[in-house]
Parts: sequence; structure tokens; C-alpha cells
Amino acid sequence: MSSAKRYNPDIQQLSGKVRGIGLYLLPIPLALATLIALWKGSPGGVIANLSGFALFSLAAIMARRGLRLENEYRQRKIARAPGTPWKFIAAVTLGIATGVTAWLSTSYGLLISILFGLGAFGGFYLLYGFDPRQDKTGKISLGVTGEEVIEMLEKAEKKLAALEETGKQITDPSYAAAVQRIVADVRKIINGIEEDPSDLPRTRKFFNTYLSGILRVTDRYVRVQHAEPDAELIKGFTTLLHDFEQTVRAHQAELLENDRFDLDVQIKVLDTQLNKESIS
Amino acid sequence: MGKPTPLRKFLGMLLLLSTAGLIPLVSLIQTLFG
Repeated sequence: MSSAKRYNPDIQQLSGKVRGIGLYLLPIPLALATLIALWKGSPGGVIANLSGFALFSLAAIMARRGLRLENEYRQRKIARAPGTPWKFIAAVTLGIATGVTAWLSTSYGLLISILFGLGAFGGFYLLYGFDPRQDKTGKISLGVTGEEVIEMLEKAEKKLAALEETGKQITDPSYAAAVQRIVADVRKIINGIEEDPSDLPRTRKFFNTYLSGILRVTDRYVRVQHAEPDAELIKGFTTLLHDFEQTVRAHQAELLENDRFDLDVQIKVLDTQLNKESIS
Repeated sequence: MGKPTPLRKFLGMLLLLSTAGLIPLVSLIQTLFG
């Protein structure tokens, strides 16, 4: 029996998705209290409970955003720390929400209300912690800075997400499947670079030129697909998709074997395709 | 910043429920019966 731990990213992803969802339950009594205050004809009660409800909900929304960003950050080997410290802001908002509600909507005094607020802030910190502040740069080799790698991967991810979205709009199932295969393969390359950023220089051209090229062409195809595109465009698109798939595969193999020959050939073929007026 | 340990999470949950969880309930009860 192997003693290796089973890798189960699904459970981790799920726990990242549901984390902090209980915070949305906290303001439910305040929503009820707002209605009761309304029925009793107490405008002060309505305003106090409603503002408490809004603050608690705001804290939950920000905490969820912070937890989602943190989850993405933890799952990546190379990642930028979240720009806005959402979890910290959520903790402060939750503290204020608790303090303000205790002071305005209950019979507690100011000092004890402040202590309740501090307690909520501390409880949030203990339970969820604050935001990660340091960029994760992984094992960066000479010649590539962490900043470069992060920037490159972010750009590639953005293009890939756009390609995935565009691919979903393709009505022809075989083309749509080809685009999905390309997306999956490119994602493997991105993951590979996270593992070993020294491959980045060789992948730069691939990301910059070819990923943008296939995105542009796919986008063009999607725009004209319903208007009976001419045969040349369809033929060009089919060939391009096929060549691009080959290029992605060759690139993967090249990253594995360090053999540039196949890739250069594939890239030349793709260059010719992209330069054809009918499709680019 | 490391991941919170289970004990820390438990204490945090306890503290959070007894403050941010309790106050809205107290408010509801006092609005209802106050």
C-alpha cells in the first residue's frame, strides 16, 4: 500500500467555496426585528435594526470576497497577494456592525457595546485570519523575476478565460470541442509554468502571439457563424484549430523534452495560418 | 499568515457566535417583547 496522501482538489475547492457562508445567517434576526419594529410603529427601531442588517450583510459579502481570493491564492503556486484586504475590512465592518447594533438596538450601554464589537472583530480574526499580504513567487530561477511570471500568467489566464467564453458561443459541436481541448491543454501549460517558471521565456512568444491569435480568430468566427460564413473562412478556421491543437501539444512536449525542433515547425505552420488574410 | 489551527477556529467560532451571533438575537427579542 502506498503511504502517499490522496490528492483531492475537489473537496478543497468546495470548502473554499462555502467558507464564510454562515456569516449571511447572522443578520437574519435583524431583518425580522426590522419588520416587527415596523409593525409596532417604531421608526427608531426600524432604522437601528435596518442599519445593523445592512452592516452585517456588507461584512458577510466582503468576507466572502476575501475568502474566495484567499482560496485562489492558496491553490496557486505562484500568485499575487490580494490587492484589497477584504477580510480585514470585513472584520472591522463586522465589529462596527456588532457594536452599533448592540448600542442602538439593545439596552446595552456604550462601553459594553464597544466590547461586543471588539469581541466580534477578534472572533473573526481567530476563525478566518486576515488576508495574505505576500506575493507567492514559487521557485523562480535566474533570468525571470517573480513579478514577470505573475504578470505573464495573469495575462495568459485572462486570454484563456476569454477564449473559453468565446468557445462556449460556438454552435458547431466539433469546433466547440476543439476549442475546449485547446483551453484544457493551455491550462496544463500554465500549471506547468507555475511548477517550473524557468520555462517561461520559451512560452512567452506562445502566450503573447498565438494565444492572442487564436482568440482573435475564434472571436471573428463566432461573430460570423450565423451569417453563413464563406467556405474559405470555415476551411481556414478548421485548419487553424487543428494546427493550434498540434502547436499546443508540441509546446507541451517541448517543455517536457526541451526539444525545440518540432515546436519551431509547428509555429511556422501556425504563423502562415494566422497571416492568411481570410482569417486574421 | 498561516492557516488557523482547529483550536483557534473553535475559539474564534465561539467568540463570534457569542458576540456577532448573539447581538442580533438580543435585538430581536427586545424588539419583540420590549
